[in-house]
Formats: sequence, C-alpha cells, structure tokens
Amino acid sequence: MYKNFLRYIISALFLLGLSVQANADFKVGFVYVGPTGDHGWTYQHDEGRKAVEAAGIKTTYVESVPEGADAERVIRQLAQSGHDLIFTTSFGYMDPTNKVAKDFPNVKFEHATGYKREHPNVSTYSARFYEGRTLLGHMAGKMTKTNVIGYIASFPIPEVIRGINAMTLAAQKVNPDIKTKIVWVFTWYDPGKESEAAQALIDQGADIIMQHTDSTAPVQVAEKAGVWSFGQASDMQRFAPKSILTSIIDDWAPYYVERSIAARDGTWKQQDTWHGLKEGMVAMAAYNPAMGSDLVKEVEQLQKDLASGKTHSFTGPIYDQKGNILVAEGSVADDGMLAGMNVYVKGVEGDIPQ
Amino acid sequence: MIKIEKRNDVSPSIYFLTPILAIFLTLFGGGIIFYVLGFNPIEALKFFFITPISDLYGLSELLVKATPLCLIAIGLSFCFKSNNWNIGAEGQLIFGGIVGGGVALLFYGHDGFYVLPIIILSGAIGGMIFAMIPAVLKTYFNTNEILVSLMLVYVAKLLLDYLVVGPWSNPEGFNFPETRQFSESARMPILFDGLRIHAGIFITLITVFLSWLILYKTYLGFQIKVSGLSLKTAKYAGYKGKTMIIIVFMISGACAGLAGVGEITGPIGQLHRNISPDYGFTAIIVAFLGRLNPIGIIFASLIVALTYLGAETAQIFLQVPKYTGQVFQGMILFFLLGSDYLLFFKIKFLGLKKNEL
Amino acid sequence: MKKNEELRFLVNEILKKYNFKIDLDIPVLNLSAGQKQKVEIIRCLIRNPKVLIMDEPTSVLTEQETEDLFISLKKFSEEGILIIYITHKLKEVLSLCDEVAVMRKGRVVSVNSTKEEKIESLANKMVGENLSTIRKKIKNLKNSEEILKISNLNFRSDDPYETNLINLNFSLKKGECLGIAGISGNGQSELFQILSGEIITEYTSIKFRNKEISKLNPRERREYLMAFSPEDRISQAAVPELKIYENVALNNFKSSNFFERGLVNEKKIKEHSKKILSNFSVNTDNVNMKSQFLSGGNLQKLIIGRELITSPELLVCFNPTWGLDVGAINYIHETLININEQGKSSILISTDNDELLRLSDRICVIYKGKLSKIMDINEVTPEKLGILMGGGSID
Repeated sequence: MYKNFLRYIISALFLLGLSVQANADFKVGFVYVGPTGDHGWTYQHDEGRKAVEAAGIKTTYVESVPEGADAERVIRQLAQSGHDLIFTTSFGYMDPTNKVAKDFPNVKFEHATGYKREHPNVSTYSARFYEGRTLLGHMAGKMTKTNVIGYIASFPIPEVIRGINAMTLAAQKVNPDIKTKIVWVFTWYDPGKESEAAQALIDQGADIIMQHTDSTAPVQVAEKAGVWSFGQASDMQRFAPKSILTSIIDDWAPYYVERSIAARDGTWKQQDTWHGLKEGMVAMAAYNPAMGSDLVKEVEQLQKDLASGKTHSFTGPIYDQKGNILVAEGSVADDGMLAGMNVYVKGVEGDIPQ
Repeated sequence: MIKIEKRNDVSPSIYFLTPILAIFLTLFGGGIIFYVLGFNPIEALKFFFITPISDLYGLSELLVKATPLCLIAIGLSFCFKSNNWNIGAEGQLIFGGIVGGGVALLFYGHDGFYVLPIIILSGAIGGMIFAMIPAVLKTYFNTNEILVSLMLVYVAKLLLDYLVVGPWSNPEGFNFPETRQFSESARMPILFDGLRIHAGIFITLITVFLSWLILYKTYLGFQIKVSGLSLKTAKYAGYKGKTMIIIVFMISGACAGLAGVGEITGPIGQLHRNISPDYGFTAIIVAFLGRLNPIGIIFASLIVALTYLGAETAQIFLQVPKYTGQVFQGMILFFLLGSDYLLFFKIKFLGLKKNEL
Repeated sequence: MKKNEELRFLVNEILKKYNFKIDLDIPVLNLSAGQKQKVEIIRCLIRNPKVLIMDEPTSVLTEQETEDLFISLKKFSEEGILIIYITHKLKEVLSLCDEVAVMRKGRVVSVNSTKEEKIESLANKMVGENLSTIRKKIKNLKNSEEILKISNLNFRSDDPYETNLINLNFSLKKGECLGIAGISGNGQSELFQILSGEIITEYTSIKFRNKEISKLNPRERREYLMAFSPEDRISQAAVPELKIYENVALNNFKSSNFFERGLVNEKKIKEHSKKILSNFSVNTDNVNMKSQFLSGGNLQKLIIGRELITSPELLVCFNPTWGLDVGAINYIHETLININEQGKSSILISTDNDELLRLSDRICVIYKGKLSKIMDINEVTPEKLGILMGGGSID
C-alpha cells in the first residue's frame, strides 16, 4: 500500500520532468570515457561533437566517466535534463545505455562499439578500423627490415583481433616473411604501460610499432628509437614527425552530424552502423613521404580499392595459426564472421589471452 | 612577531564544528574558483550542491554513491583509530568483489533466497582474508602495512583483469572484458521502482550501528581506543597487540569486501574491470572527514558523494571541467587540516619587541 | 656554505693536527662509535670554538677510544679552549678536569678544584648526606618467606637506545622493599618492562609465589596479584586524553567485572573509580573528567591507587615521585611504606637516592645493565651508592 503510493508519487514526478523536457530546445549529449585532451579516442569523439555544434545543434559532454556504476547515472541525468539524443562512446556503457533507454523511450541513444540494442531507441555504431589496418600492413610489410612488426594491443576483443589479422594478412601479401609480435596491455589509455610495451617490442627486434591504444606514448618511443610507427584514432604526426608513416583517423563527425539532424527532424531510426573508408568514418592522415613516392602511390591506390569495395581486407584463402582454413580461396569474410572474430591468422605469434 | 602555541584543551563541540567550518570555507573557496573560471559562483554552487539532490532520483543516487564510501570508511576507522594504516581498502573491495562475483557466477541460473546472502557473506570474507595479508605480515614479519596494503591493491586489480578477460568472461560476450550479468537472485533487491537505491543501504546502516557498538561499548573498542592514543599504554595494560591488529584489519577488510559485493550485486550487476572508481581511496578522506566517528562518517560520506554528483551536474549544465569535483574534495581536506591546526594550536600576534626593531 | 674542496682541506688540517684517523669518503653509518664521535668533534672544531660542551661523551666508547678522546681533549684545553664536561663517571672527572661542580636535584651543591676531591668525597656530595625525616622502621625479614625469585635475567636489544641487561639474579621477601638505584639510562626501564611483562625475554626465569610467570603479559601477571607503576605517567601509566574512569579501566583484573561478556560495564568502572579517588585522596570526585586536567601528584595518586586497590602482593614502581611537590611525595612515600607494613612487597626502581634510602630494606645499584651486590639498608652509605652508580666498585 505504502510502497504503491510512493511508486505513484515517483512516476508522477517523472512525468512532470518529461513534460517539461518536451518544450526544451533540441540537445545532444555525449558521454566520454577519457578526458577530451587524450589526443586519441575521446579527442576524436569530441571533434565529432564540435562538428555537431557547428551545424547549429546544442551539445553537452561529460568526460572521464568511469565505466562502473557511475555511467548509468550520468546517462540518465543527460536524458533527464532534456537531451534528446545521447552518444555513449565506450564499450563499457553498453548495459547502462540500454537500461536508461528503457526508461526514456522518447530519447534516442547511440552506443559506440557495442552489440546490444535492447530497445527501439538504441542504435549502435562502429567503424571498420580494420580497413585502415590493411593499409598499415601493406606499408609495414614494405618498410620493415627486421621482418618483425610490433603491435600494442588493448583487449582481446574481436575489434582488436580483427585489426591484428587484417594488418598481418596485408603485410604477408607484400612480404611473406613478416612476423607480428603482440603485447597486450589491457588498457585503452595508459601512457606508462604503452611506452613500456613499445620499448619491449623494439627490444625484441620490431622496427615497426603500431598500437590499438589511445595515447601518443608509443609513437614517441618509436621516434626516439628511430623505428617506424603509426598513429591511432587521431593524427598523431606532430608527436613523432619522423617516425609516423600515417595515422588511422576515426572521423565521427559526419555520422554525428547526420544522426543529430535526423533525430532533430524526426527521421531517426534504429540501426547498426558499421562504416569504413567508403563513408569516411575511417580516414587516413597524410602519408609520410619518407616511404618513397612509389609506395605512397601504391597505398593510395589500395585505399581507393578498399573504399570502392574492389578489394576486401579479408579475402581468402585465410588460414588460422594451425593451418586450418578460415576463409576459402575466392571468397571474403562476411560481417558476421568479422564481428565474432576470435582467432589469429597464420603469421601472428603467440596465443590470444583467455 | 608571530608565535604558535599548543592549546591546552579542546572542547568537544568545536571538535565536531570544524568539519562544518571546513565545508563552509570550501564553498567559499569554490565560489572564488568558479568566479575566476568565469561562472556565476552562486549558480555554479547551486548546480554543484543542490541540483543533484533536488529530486528523489538524485537523493537515491546520493545514497547509492555514499553507501560504499560509508561502509569502507567505517571499516577503516577501526584501523586508523588503533594506529594501523590500512591504505589498501580499494584492493580489499576488489577482492571482495572477485570472491562475491565468483560465487554469483557459480550460482548463475539458480533461484532461491539463499543465493544473495551467500554471495554477500563470501564477499565480506574475501575482503577480510585479503586484509589479513598485511596484518599478518605486519604482526609476524614486521613489515610496513602501508606499503603492503597499497601494493596489494594492484594485485587485486590485475587479478580482476585476468579473470574478466580470461576464465570468467561472458561466453556470449565477444571476448569483451566482463562477466555475464548475474541472475536476478544474485542481485540486491531494489527498494523503489525506478530508483537504484538497493538493500545494501540496510547492510551499511547495520554495519554503522554495530561499529558504534563495538567502538564505544565493548572491551575490544576500548582496547582499540587506548592503542590509538598510546601504544605504550596498551602494552602496559597487557592488551594483545598482535591479535588486535589482525582483528581491526579483518573488520576493515570485511567492510571493504561488503562494499565491493554491494556494488557488483547492486548497481553494476556483473564483474568488469571498473567495479570501483577508487572508492577505497576516497573512503580514507571520508573516514578522516568524519573524525573516525560512525555518525560523522555517515555525514562525511554523504558530503563526499555529493561532490561527485555535483561535479557531474555542474559539467552537464555549465560544462565546468570534470576535475572541479576533485578540486572540491582536495579543498575540504585542506581546510579541515587547516582548521585542525588552529584547533590544536593557537597563533599569537605579539608586538615587536624593541630589540627586534 | 663552503665549497667541498675547501671543506675537505679544513677537515684534513684538523685530522693532521690532532692525529685523528678517519676515512673521509665512507658513509658515517659505517663508522665505529668512537669515529662517529670524532666526526662530531671535527664538526665543532671547524668553527674554531672558544667553548666545547660535552655531555656523557664516553658512554658509547671503548676504553681505548676513551683514552684517545682524553688525549685530544687535553690538547684542546692546552690551546685555550674551555671544556665543560658533563658526566656521572667520577673517575673521568678526576683524571680529566681541573675544576668540578656537583649538581643534585637541579642545584649546584659544590664547586671545587679536583685536586681537593677524591672519589669518595664526590660521591658523598652527589648523593647527599642529610637523610630524610620519614624513614622506614628496619624490620627483621630473615625468616619471612620468599615471594619473588629472578634468575638469569638477560636481555639483548637491537635498538641502540636500549640497554642490554646482563645476568641479573635477585629475590624478594614478603613485606620487603628492594631499592634499585642507578643513574638513568643504565637499564632501569628495560628491567621494569621485563618485570611487568611488557617485554618477554626468552631464558629468564621469574618465579612469583612459586609460579613461573616469565611468559605472562602484564594483564595476566596482575591476575597473580602483581601491580606496576611505570615511570612515564602521562604516556604509559595513563592516557591524558582518556577520562579518569577510563584510565582506571586500564587495570582490568578479572574479578573487577569491568568488561562483562566483552561489553563495557561503565557503572562498575565508575563506582570503582570513585572508591580510588576517595581512598587515595585525589582532589576530585568527578570520574568523567579527562585525566589531563589532573596535576602530576593527583595523577600519580590515581595510578598508585588503581594499582593498589586490588591488594597486590607485589608492587613494582619506577620513579614514582619524579616531578611531584613535597606534599605528594610524602603521601606516596607513606603509601609505599604502608604496603610493606601490611606484609606486601615492593620493588622500587628509582634515580632519587633520598627516596631509596627512605623506603628500601635492601638496595642494589644497576650500572650498564648489571646489578651490584645487594646491600642491607644499614650497611649503605651515600658514598658507596655514589661509587657504584658511577661504575666503580666497593671493597
């Protein structure tokens, strides 16, 4: 009885809150896992947010939100305080996003890199970063002298494994002798750990360093050691001008602007977006002329082919480490297989941490 | 010429008023900072301290955030009161979470009223065992408990990383570093629909009451008090110092373990790498802000929790940088220590003596 | 600040001049005690002092090192440096100094040329000749039963600030007061803690009323009717921040029922405290008052009262009257005499010789962790005490 009464009061308060919101201006909220100044993952999302702002839509962001119990409150507060569309930009926000979405059916939610869309107002989006990795692999295979490619990996999730595989396959194509050495750092952002990992790889003979983590530490270590490196998420060229061959850039801006306008105009629909070079969600920074104009031309051509679909990063035959066939000759891996990828291809050293 | 003298007596009312003074000074200092940053200080402070708790949801969130802080700080007060410097509550929280979470996974798919109590109990025991490591090393091998307990935080964190990445990761979770969502039977009951406040708050209140009872009404509490004031006296009175060190660490660890298990069975519902945003470290501030007194700790945990919520709202409404919340916490501590100094020492302004001119 | 080179040059000069041999490039940590002291002295000499003040400089030195030091000191004095040398070692005074002042209880009692003094005369001045007005009646305890027997009491400490105890043996009779004299820092504190059980030593045997108690802690020893009054009344015997009744609860003997089933029985403790306050004429009846507001004398009365209200068979006290006024001293002395008259025993460790001569039946001296022969009170003279306390030997 008492509990019912309370419940009534609470829902009345909620309704009151919602009716106030309906009159408010259209606003887009962003939840970031890191600080906007990380020059990597969060930085690029914030660049996207600025593009939305430039398109005349009000935005709000909350930075450095831990992926624990706090995330739900922040997302809910954004929903409650009149934000109509909320981008939650880290995998760890998956469950909180869906939980809040249930209680705010009129607010739209966009969750990056996740796979749960439990309510019609939740979309997911991610980028085909692996297409960029294919380009990196091509360059790495051509540029390496020691035939050892060092790879700093964050977590053994399909997205990261896909990148390792795509890179290795492309490198093998131009240089069958290469080996990929991996150090798992189990973090997205930890300059200390990342630079230690880079140094360890260089000590093991790697003359190419690439990273699936967000700080600029590895490229700086590479610069100092005089080996080649690749930037991640944003253009890191100015942190290691000699060493960086190019950077994979996450360009969320077009997607964020498009979805924000759609939500404002009432044309937003639930979807699972996976964009790549073609749509521009994955872009490449300027190529370092130090690799020679021939190679630059080759890579530019490969980039065009990947964008047009003429070439696919995962074209058969592809074998796993034990030699079992994964993708048959003449066919390409489908999105389902890519989404769940959890084995290394031949030529990668070591085991996936389990 | 300024002279600093120790005060002879400190009245108890002033002793409890200084934290309030510290909070007012923090508000004042905070206002100045907001003003310098170009915000209207009154408005900013309103968003910081009033908006977050102006509705039921906000109040519930305040309690959700304050619950673990209060639990851990209460446990720490046992250690700190008896001069044992347990800095590793974060590790004990995580280890409690690991043990509780492991049991929750073991019971995955089981229904039954017994599931949750078993999980909670195992979480408390987990934290307790983890806290006994620095205690036993201190008593039998004379190690420094500050270092040992602190380093064990990293051990617990890495163990959790390993478990959620590897053996305990969700088989349907595409290798993402997290476990399954626990079954409904393994979750803390929610008290009101639509709010996150859960039964963990009762555990906290019971713990606070029991702690008060132990600290102020039992022989153990008396021994803790005496040891904290003078180890020499405790030795002279014949208290078993080693046993007591182990007991206070066990209590402290159990509280941190409860906080951990409360988080994972409450608002989080699974194990992943970020089950605690450094609650174990923040609770040290809470414990001292609350004067190591159970009632004081309740208030302190609410205030510190509020600074977290406030930092979020101020960010949402005014786009104030996130780290202002931490600045606020730092300021509270700074002003508290500052007023403490004035509490125990008085400053005398003496005229310049002739020969000094 | 002088530059390193310059400093090294200066130090080398001093080394040459006084024939000191120290390697300047090894850490002070690795030097012997005598060498460390030389470093200290060099540090003084570098500033060309007119006066050099030294306080017990030989306490950590070997005999050879002491001799070396004296040679240097004599050289300094020949060069016109005035040396003030503070020590309790009478022999050193006579061999080193030109003039000697004797201090007792904060007063200078004599200044004289050393040529006119002998060890015996100095000892007499040091201890004081006028014995006090209150003096215990000498009893014949020959036939009294033995209550405490200490054998092979040894204690080795790694802490350089603690004194090692070497093979102490003594026993105590019912109704007897054994005084242990000595200059502070010769092992009294360690001896007290071993008697109270705060320090447990491995091979020592302590038999109290025929029971071996050497492994028991203070609380357990109290159950056997021992009581202890430590020297440090404000940070050991009592806690100033605690209320009077809480300080009383520190002596938690079983029959007190202060803590029943682990819970504090505040009523019991307060009743008991009131009794102590009135029986031992502490000038307050407010048991809720913090002890820090008690004067030293009243605090000491509270502590002695707390220890004695259980009617213990043995009281061990250590400097029970330091820093107290005459009234409080007399009260405590009477109390201590009283317990002997009631057939209870006591051990009085004290640095106050008047007190020892007033209260003891037998006296011995502790010096560098060793006990002297135990003397009956009527064979003790201030002279003998002084010599023993300064490390000399009698007969």
